[in-house]
Amino acid sequence: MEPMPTALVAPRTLRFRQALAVVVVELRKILGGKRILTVCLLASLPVVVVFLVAIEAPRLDGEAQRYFGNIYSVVVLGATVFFGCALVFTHLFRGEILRRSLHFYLLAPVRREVLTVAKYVAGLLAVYALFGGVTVLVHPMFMGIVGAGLSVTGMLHYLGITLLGCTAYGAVFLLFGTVFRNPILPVAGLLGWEALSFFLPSAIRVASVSYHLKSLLPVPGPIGQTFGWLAEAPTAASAVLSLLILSVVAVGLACYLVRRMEIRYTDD
Amino acid sequence: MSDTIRFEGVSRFYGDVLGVNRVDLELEPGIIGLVGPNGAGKSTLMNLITGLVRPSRGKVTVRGVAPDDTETFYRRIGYCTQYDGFPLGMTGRRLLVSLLRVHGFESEPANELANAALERVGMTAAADRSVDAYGKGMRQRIKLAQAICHEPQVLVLDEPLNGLDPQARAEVTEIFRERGAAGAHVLISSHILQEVDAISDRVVFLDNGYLIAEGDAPGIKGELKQYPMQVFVRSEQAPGIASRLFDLGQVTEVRLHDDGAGLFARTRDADGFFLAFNKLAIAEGWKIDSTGTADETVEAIYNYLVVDGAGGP
Repeated sequence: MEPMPTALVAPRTLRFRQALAVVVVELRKILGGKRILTVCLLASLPVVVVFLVAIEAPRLDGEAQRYFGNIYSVVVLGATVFFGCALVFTHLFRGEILRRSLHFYLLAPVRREVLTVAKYVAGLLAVYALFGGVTVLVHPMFMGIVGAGLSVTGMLHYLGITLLGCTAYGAVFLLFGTVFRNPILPVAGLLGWEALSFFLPSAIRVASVSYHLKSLLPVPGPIGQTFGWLAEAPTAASAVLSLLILSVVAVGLACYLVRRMEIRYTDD
Repeated sequence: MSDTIRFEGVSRFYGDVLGVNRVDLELEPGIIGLVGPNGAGKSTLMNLITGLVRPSRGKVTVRGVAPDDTETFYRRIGYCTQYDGFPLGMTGRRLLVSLLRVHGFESEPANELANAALERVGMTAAADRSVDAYGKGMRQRIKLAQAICHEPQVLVLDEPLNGLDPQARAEVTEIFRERGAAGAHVLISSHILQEVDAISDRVVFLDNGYLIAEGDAPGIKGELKQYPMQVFVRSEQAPGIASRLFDLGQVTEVRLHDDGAGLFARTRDADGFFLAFNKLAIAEGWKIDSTGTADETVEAIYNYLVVDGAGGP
């Protein structure tokens, strides 16, 4: 039998091509699935909240940034990014297992690490587009309505935090989707941890994604304003680095688990 | 490089449940039937060959490559599974093209290979319909197209004829024969024993997770010295013949055919039986229309080994 053409391609080129193919397939699935409706609803939540708060608020002058920071922290990071990423990333592997279709991927001559990373990248592209877009929309909308003037730097700052949040939460939820048969409970556990960890000593607080994300806000978040002694924050560089390391470790663990993954749908 | 599928002391347990146990097996290329009752370990064996599950003990290699080397291994394997799930929102064509792209094919060859596979399984007309809307037979055919589209050297097929009408069965069977003739391994599990018998060069018998026999049907029968072979005699004088057969000594059971013009006899020594029978027939002046062995079939051996429990570990 003749060797198939793929055997003649340089491994790096082949892997890139395979990863690209997986990204395209996954993007189609994410954007074509029913879940995207819920994700879009979550994405529209900040638009509605920011609009309502902005039209109800008096002219804020110097307080606009703080107001927006509070809304962003609670609504965009706490609700939209957290739950949106949970919906998308836990489903990347778990959804295929539930549909009994994961074997199609596992029977392809693609390294499982390439498959895992490509799925993660597809998830990131989808949530970056949605939640990044929402951030780019709501910041100037709020500033415009309250008459605080537009700030491209401010908008990019929040956009960066949103993308970093998607990266870190996405990696953690990808891992949840490969470890747990029912990722809802660990997602709920993480939600509780993220909400309550602010009240814990700083040595423990560093294990929270939101702690690092909120430390990057241009103004202190609502917890910091209320309980100043709890607002002790890492430097921006260490927060960004911590979140990136967390993401790499979580995706690396997911790769390891997917490499050992077997198809036993009856167990799921 | 080896061109065999090798199991070396392979066991697979699911917790306390046995999948397969202590399987040592070497399969040469050709069409291989995998036979056994539900729970015999057929799907486990297929999943082990295709790397979808790993051995608890032992080692599996396919043409010299272990499943851990995914990039080389899966280029050689095509697996039509028993699982009926498909990725979300795919048409038949898109499923094949997407998977070929994941294999690493560029757009043009991926489309060409997908079209060829769709045509081969008779799915060209339905290729652009959603897979979710396919009936059982179409799903089976698109799974087969997915298994053959990258022209693998090893084709593993779990109940591939399920849900197919007779014409489709014949077409699909022809694909297996072509692949087998081209030097591929074609491993087929089926509960339709006559079809396994008709297609397969060799048969692997499994029961309760154990390999109980492997080889071509006459070869397996030959190895089973105690195998009580069934022979038939066609003659208008069958009732009279039947009454004399026990005189031959080698016969353990005689049964008249429903039409009264034939009989079946069981013997542990077919050669000895025919020698003695011929002498007796000449001596008695019986008019014999035909004689032969009735059960060198996979089904007969299956019944003996599995149903009657003679092949237990």
